[in-house]
Amino acid sequence: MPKNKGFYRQNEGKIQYRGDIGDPGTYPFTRGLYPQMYRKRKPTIREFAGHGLAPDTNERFLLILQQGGTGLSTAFDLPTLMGRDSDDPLCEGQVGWDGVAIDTLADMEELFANIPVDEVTVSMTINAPAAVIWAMYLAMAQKQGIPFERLGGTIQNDILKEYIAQKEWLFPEEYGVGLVVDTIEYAARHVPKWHPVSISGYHIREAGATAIQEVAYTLSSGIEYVRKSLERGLSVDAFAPQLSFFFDIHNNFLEEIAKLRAARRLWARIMHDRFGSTNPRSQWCRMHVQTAGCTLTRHEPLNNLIRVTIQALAGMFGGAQSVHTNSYDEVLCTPTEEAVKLAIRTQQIIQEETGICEFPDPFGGSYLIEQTTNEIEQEAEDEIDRIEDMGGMIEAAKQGDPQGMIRFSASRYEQAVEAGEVLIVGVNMSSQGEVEEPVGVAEELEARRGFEKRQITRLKNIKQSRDSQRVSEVLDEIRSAAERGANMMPSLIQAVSVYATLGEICDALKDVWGEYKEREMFVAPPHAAAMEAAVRRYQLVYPLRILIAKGGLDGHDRIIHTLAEFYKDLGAEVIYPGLHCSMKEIAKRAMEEDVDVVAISTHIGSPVVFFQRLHEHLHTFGKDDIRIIGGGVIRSRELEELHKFGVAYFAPVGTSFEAIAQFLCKEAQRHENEQ
Amino acid sequence: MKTSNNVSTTILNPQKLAHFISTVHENPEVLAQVLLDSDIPDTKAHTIAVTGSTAAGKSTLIDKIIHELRDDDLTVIVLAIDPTEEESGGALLGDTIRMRDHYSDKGVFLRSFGSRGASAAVTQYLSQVIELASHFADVVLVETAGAGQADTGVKRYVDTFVVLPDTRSDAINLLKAGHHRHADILVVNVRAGSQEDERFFALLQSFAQTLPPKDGWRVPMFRVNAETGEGVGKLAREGLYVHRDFIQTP
Repeated sequence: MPKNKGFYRQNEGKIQYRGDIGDPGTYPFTRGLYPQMYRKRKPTIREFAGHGLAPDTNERFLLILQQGGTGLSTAFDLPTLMGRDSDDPLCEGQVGWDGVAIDTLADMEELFANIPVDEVTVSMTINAPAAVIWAMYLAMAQKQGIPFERLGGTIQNDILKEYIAQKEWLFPEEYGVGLVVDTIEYAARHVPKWHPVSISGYHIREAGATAIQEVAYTLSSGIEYVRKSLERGLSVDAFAPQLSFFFDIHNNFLEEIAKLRAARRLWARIMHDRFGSTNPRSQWCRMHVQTAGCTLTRHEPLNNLIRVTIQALAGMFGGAQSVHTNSYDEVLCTPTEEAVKLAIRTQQIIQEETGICEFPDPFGGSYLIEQTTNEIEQEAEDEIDRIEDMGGMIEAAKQGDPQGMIRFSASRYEQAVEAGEVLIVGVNMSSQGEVEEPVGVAEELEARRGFEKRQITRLKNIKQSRDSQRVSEVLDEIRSAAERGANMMPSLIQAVSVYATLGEICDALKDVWGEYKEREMFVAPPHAAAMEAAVRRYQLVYPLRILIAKGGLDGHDRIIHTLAEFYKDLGAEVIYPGLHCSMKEIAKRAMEEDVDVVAISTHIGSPVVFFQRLHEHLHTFGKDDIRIIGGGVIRSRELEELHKFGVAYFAPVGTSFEAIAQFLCKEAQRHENEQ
Repeated sequence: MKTSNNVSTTILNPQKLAHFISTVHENPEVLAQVLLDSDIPDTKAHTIAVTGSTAAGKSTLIDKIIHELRDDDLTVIVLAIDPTEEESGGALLGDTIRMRDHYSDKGVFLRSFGSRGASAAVTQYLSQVIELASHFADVVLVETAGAGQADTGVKRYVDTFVVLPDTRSDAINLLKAGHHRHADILVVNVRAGSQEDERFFALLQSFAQTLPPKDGWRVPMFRVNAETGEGVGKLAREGLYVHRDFIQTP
């Protein structure tokens, strides 16, 4: 960082107050979208909730509204996010686990029972199958006699960031983006108060990107959606006012304030200069922000309250339209009621007691903030131009370019933490040892295991009571609309109305469009020092063959790339079958490859279920001799159960490279001795 | 979209095959003994090697070839080789990820190898492994690690040698890289909209004409799009099958 940053610099490029900064509510909206900002309208307190079945989450929604939440935000479980029904074998152990399970319109109706959907705005964190879930929401309103014009809310629906960061995809890029554009077009024509896409930097940042990359890739995706919408024959001002954005609020307080200002100015300029919009609303980068989940620690979880508070402040100084404050305990369990209440209280205290809502953009004009805003804008714009030169975000994502850039930044950050250049209180500074498991986790695990059975029964009942003839007709209509290249929304609304399931609808679309195929192969991340040190000390005496995979539908594959590289450097032969393989497929691959070890990484869902299934399938293939090992998120009670399923070793999050190397060396030695 | 859902033909005894491959790969001398096993059929597969440089699209092409072979009820074994790192002795075996449509197909068997000290493009005792595998399926597809000239070694072990040249290479490289001259079949992966690939295709077409026929076989050239599968059906039926029949003709 230059020494004189934050001070007056003689050779500073000239900043024009009008044109570069401007009053709040005037182009380019650096200081905020509205002239009065929070004086007139406080940010929406929008807390994310969802677990179990629809009635469980409905209960939580009612509680949030009662406690002072002013909007709702829905978390769906992984099977729903992946467009699969709860009875799909690949969903085992994940139903209702970290969000609510939605299979049919009946679930949607129960999810919003007793909630006035024409008054409360509802945000839904759903991406690849967002059009189908939105169709369910619209059909629900239709049945209640509420006209579409009165519905307000947001579907996240940003598929590009799935290809580049979060990896919850369904269809090949062109069709995935095409479906997003269908919703943009449909919203423009029929649901004017709805935000059909929330173009998201959040997940890009959480995957390890820098603030500049977060802005650049988010706005690059925005450019792609605008371009594709224009190709539909819509005029820019007919749909752009309904676009919205979603950013992460990370730890660097001042940089984050500048980031939101830079994103606002850059988007306004893009819409004005590149797309010639004349309606200021088309130029607004209206933003929801969420405090950064990746900064929360399992160590001393109450510290998270302080982190969240500071991040929420940055979000508000940065001029966000709505804010989600994370629950301090969410890294340990489904947020408790107490933690959800504290998250809401945090925002209420900021809004009502501190007086900061009285002054729009109070940091505007500070040397540091203006310089940083300029820098982020310029560097993000350069990166956007680079992506545009590649042919736009679809093409860049196909080439794996932003994926590689994000991974590189993530590794650099990890190295900085490891080296102590970035300090995390309670973790690599003032650490007092072990993570304590919160009380009540055992009961919660039991409850989670019950979700799947209950939901599958619900689904079965619905399938029995619906008109199956009609369902097969509407699914045919979906295939035919997809083949014609029609806007999918009318046929989706029709299909969900007769209780076609999410999985059936997505499968019909896959019949026509095919499935997205993972292109990325192993990409060597820059090595962590601890990994290098372990490799120097340990070498396998025999080239163990190891198949490494994720459990279920989870897309957190960075650890796979890191471990694959680590195993290889120790002298192993490593096979990776890709994301979203069933345990049966993994067992068959392990048999064919005649591996010595199967390693499963689990972050979402029940590790117990994953290992039980793997154990059973390996047995079916006559491969009881393969060593099963695991790693990832686990609770002590689950750990106790794993040995029943032949799990020889489990490395919980935070296990050292050295410990893993020691285990593998022993395994290799055992093989060598046997031969 | 095509998926391999053909269950009428399956690979018998895949567990045994998996185990024997490991045995032979460690110690080729046991091959003769292994083949005496009464469960091993006396039939012999059509063996095919696909070679070409790293980013040429070999795995993606093989994935599409498997689809075609399965449509014709043929069982398939893939032997995919990736380079072993000299320093560590370890290897990342990443080829089969492109063949995931076939993971649950009982008529397809996928096996990956580190080159383990053999010339970088093949693996130790590959000829014995191919010989063993050829008793277990209708077709054995070998994917080399793609290291240029060294790949020609594999030609001796298979019936049909398919070469997928890198479309980014220029004419000089093409002539230098000896292995193209050994091809039984040339395949060019032309990606949609790529001018570069089109130019290369034209270049190779003129190059192919300069190759003299070998024992009555004139090397055919196929244009495919490995990503979409376009042209792969033709490659299978007018290239691979025709060459199989050609070499079987006494």
